[in-house]
Amino acid sequence: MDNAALTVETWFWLLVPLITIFVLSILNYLRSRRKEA
Amino acid sequence: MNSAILSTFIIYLLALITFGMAFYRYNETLSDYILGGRKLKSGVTALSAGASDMSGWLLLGLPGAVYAAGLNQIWIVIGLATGAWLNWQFVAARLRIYSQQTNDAITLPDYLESRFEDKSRILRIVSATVILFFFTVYTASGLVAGAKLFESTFNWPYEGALLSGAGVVVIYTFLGGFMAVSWTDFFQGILMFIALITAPVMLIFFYENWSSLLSGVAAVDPSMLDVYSAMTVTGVISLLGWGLGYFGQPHILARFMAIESPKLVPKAQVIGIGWMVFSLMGAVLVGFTGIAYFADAPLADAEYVFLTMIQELFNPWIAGILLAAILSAVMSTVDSQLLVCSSAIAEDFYKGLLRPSAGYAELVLVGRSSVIAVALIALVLAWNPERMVLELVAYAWAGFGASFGPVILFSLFWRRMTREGALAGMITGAMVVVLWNRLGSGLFDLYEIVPGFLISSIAILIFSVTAGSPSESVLKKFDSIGTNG
Repeated sequence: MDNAALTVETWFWLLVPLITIFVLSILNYLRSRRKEA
Repeated sequence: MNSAILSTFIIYLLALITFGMAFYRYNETLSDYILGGRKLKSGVTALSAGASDMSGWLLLGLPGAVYAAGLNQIWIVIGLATGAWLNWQFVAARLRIYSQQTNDAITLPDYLESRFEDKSRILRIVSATVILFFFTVYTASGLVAGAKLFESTFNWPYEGALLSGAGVVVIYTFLGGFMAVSWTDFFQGILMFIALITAPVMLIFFYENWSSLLSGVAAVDPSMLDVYSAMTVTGVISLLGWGLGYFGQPHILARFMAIESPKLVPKAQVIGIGWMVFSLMGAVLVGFTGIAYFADAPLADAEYVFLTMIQELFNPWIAGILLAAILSAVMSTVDSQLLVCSSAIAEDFYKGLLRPSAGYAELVLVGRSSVIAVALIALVLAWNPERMVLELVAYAWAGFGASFGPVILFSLFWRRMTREGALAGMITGAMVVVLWNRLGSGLFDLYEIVPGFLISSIAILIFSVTAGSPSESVLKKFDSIGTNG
């Protein structure tokens, strides 16, 4: 394995949970705006 | 140390005091002083919740941990972000509605007492005592962190640094109350965000590209690139468990109670979570790039990684602003905690127990005097520079998470919960946190918050079921909140 590279698994744990949480918040906001309109 | 950094600092501190003075005249009632009369808009709610939550840990502790141990520290980031998201998603709006409908409660003890129609005052006394105890310690740890920043930046003696930092926070909290604290937190949140994004981006340019930075880190220690390196299951669960703490932090829940309308919550959530996600990534990147940057001359104290990086990378004027951001992180937590302590004394002890008929002016005066009293006790605790900042933070975080977290969640969502259940939950949660690590090693190395949260929840269930049904009016109030809150 190339030491200088991050493994796929590391990338997954670094980014996927944080981005998912952010996207879920945006979806929730959009839904609440639709409900109000 | 040069005068550019000092000037930026002084301008920044003067601006904070001006804020306090500007909001002085808006504090006519105790509700104004403690909750800003529930008039916060989404942006201020979101960033002030984030800034008062994160403290010096975000700019000193987390980068330091990643710098010292590598990417296996990201589990705490995932735990915290998930906990914060769940808190916004399920607790924020419902707590806002419920706290206003239960006698317009402005503090957590107030809310708990009205929620369970507790005439004995015992819920109020127990919860206000837990708040005062953990926050005085928490505040002291913040003052130590602030003092260390002044000390390392200006080479001031520790005691002088401690007094200057504490003095500024007390002045603007004393004068301006909740609105001043929330607005300064808002600007401090923006400053922290900018600092955390700019520094690592500068360093990535310094290394020209991402892969040469990775090689630099791997050259120091390849295991620093591995999220599982030296991690046990207990270790991962402990770090993820930090997220459980959110449901019980009084200074964060106060922001939810203060938002102008529950309808503003989804927008505040996007801003708050966005701020948090990118700030956390920035903090991890600061520590990570630091591994390569300081490879030839490793730092003696890992927590100084961001401080040192700023002073080496930036022009002194910019460095002054970025260092002020670190001070912001510390202060924005201390100010909110001082204010919650002041509310526990003025609203819960003074008005609740001693003088129920006290007028507005009298209560605001008591609230303001309590800010000074609590700050003085915290100063005494902080006087010894050998105080361990991060251990105390972890302890107080677990204490609040385990004693209030399950109680708040059940009280918002479980119709059948009783006063006895709430009391049992708070006391068990606090006891488990205090005792857990003294019981042994192995399983007992688990971060106290995880067993504390679980056992407290079990206590709530058992004591609520065995104590008989809640009164008709408690049930009616619960039903009137509806399921949409």
